[in-house]
Amino acid sequence: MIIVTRDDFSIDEVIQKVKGRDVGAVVTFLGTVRGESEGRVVERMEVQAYEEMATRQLERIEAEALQKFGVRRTAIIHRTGVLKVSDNVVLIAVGAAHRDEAFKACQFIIEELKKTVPLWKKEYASTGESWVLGETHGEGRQRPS
Amino acid sequence: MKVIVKYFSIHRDMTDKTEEEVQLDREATLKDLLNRLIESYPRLKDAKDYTVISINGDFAEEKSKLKDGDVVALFPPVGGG
Repeated sequence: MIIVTRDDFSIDEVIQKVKGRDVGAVVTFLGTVRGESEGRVVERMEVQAYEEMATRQLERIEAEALQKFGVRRTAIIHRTGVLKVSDNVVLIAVGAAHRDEAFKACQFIIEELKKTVPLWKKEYASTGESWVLGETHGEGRQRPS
Repeated sequence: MKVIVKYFSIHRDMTDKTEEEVQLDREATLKDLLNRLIESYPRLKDAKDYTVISINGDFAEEKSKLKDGDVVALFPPVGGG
């Protein structure tokens, strides 16, 4: 299940989507808006997405996670728009037969998401606003210094 | 031929556009398009080293060829999560 949305989500409902008779372990990762960044007080955050491409990239990551780790089901939800401190940003849930592959697949998904999914965050701090640039886009290109 | 160019994040701020249609010669490459865009938006030249490009939703390189109707997107390194 992949959703890119402006709306908030219910963690319980998402967890239900990855549970099942073949699942004995569910691992989740929840990313939230932090109220501090490099010493600045963050007041809110805006998430921008290239939605069509983001969905395609997330589908690729999901397929790879299912194949590589043998997990049963995954759910990836990423929010867009203006978010307050402590708001949910991203939820990844992985249902697997056992915990080991669930933990590994969950970490794989969030790391791949950060490297290859076209999403950008703008932080609004007391000192001004700035885009948070990623390290690479998955092919080794570095952020500006 | 015509291509659609979309801008995101810093590149949207630099061009003050979300997307636009650009007319190009028939055999144009991505590099030709970038040169054209830099003429229109000189700030894009400073951003060249950290500009990431996609064609129809796939990451692309400057030597990639374009075809009529392609959707090209320019943006900085991604950083969601």
